[in-house]
Amino acid sequence: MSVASGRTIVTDGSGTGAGDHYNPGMTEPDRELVRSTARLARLQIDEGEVESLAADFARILDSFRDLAEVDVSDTEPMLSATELRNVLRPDEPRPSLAREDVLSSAPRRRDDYFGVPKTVEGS
Amino acid sequence: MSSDTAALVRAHVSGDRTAVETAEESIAAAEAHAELGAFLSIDRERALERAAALGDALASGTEPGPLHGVPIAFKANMCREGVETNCGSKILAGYRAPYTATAVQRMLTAGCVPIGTTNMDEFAMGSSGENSAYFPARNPWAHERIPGGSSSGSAAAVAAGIVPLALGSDTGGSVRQPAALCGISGFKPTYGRVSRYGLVAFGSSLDQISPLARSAQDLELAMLVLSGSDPLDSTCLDLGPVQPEPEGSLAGLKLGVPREAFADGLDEGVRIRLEEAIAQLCELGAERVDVSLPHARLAVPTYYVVATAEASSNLARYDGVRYGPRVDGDGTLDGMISATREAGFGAEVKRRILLGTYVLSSGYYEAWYGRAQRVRAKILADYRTAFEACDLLVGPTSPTPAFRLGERSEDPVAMYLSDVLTAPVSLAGLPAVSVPAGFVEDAGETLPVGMQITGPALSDARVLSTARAWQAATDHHLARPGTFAERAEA
Repeated sequence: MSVASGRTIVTDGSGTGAGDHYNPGMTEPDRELVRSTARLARLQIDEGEVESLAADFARILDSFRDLAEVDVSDTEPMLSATELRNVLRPDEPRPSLAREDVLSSAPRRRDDYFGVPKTVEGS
Repeated sequence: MSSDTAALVRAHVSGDRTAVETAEESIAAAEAHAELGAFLSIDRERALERAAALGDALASGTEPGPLHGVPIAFKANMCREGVETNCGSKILAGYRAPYTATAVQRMLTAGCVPIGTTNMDEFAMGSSGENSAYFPARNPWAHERIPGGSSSGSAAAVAAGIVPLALGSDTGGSVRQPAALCGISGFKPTYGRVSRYGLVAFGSSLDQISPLARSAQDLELAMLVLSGSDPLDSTCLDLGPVQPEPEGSLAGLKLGVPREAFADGLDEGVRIRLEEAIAQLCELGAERVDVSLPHARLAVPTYYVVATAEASSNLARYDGVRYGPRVDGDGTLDGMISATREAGFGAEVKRRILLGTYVLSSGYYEAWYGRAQRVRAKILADYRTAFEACDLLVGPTSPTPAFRLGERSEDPVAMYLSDVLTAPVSLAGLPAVSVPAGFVEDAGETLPVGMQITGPALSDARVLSTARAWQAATDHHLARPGTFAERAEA
């Protein structure tokens, strides 16, 4: 992918981004970036999909390249669509959802709990 | 001017017809138009039971609600207790909500009768309806074309005359664009005017539940019921409902025409219809003011960074633990979650989760997400400047009329550009309506064109009364699919 800025990021593929050689602006999305991002997103992408997703990524990010050319040095980030602050209500106890109704949607349950794979060895 | 909804309510209350008769007709129409793919489920039994109960209440002297017996369709991303709310996704297949969304509850309390749940792009991610994990919806004006998205089924159901009123949700144009492409009216309120409680979250700083109807007057009736503060949504503004303005008038209205809305890429037929519509608005007393929104061209990338970032976070909850089908994978917790998500999400949802995860990940956050938020502020600032010179903005809703099924489905970049005129409004959190502005001919088919009217924050009532005044002077909104030939002869 060629970008107007010509800047690139080389990822170390650790998935953490911590070791990335960072250069603000654009990136060269490659298969390893797709794999590491998929791991962060808990998506089990098969090898066949990696190729096409990397190509999509490259095209999509390339189409976004104009974002890098805007001078935003004088602009604060916009965090919300409205300037009004959170609207709060009194923190009073009120009825919550019935346990049975909520558990009825769970793919697996054990007694009154959601059933999940064992995560602690030896327990 | 017309109000399908008000006429129906009057007929029910006067006894000219019963809510059961109306519900039966609506269900029959839904079944007769099954080929449109507008509904994921039709609630025959519940609808008739509810309509009968409304009739009984009326007979026993209970004051009828403002929408007594009006058939309504809800997009499949709004929770309704006991009804499948699958969001157009396999990952929520079979999910029955244990509670009801505030907006849905308000429509029910007002007397609406839900006919069914409408089709949509999976998790509201799409501009054509083709990303539904079940089947695509079709445009009632041209069955080989898309109805627009993501509120594809709600728009098709209203356009086909199945229901006079439907709810959709609009994140980057998901109600306005399908309303435009299906020849109906759709209104996205100011962010925060309608509660999001019970709406399956996509981009939380953008999502708004939004009504679709045949006329602006019906949108006003719907907004009067839908809008207003909700203690269950801390982003819902602490304001009363949007009250319809008594008289919609165009006299002396300063209408801003953003140069960027007529940029390259706009279909020639759409451009001509809009120029005609603007000229007609001026004949009706409005004054044209040319304005500029210089950062609007960056709305698509800004939107797709912000919305995917929010989506990647919101969709983290689909982990195969609390709802939806589970895939065990390698048997570990991580393996189960990854395998469940891989099997449950469609291609576009995965693409957006990956994009959103990437723009938020360490090392890339500031370059993408941080930057997009700053550009978002610039887009909002452009609108503020424009509204110093005018009262409202007008332009096309969609750069093209409805395209063919499959035409853009393999090209995410082309699909994203469908949102170029609606996304900037969403990023700025502003109210905007799409109303019919005429038709274009394409390959022998007659396709509707939509006009978007945008106002400053909290000018919801003004935007709607202006749309009402436009419809009082024009008849584009009265055209029905299949009746264009008769209309042309008349």
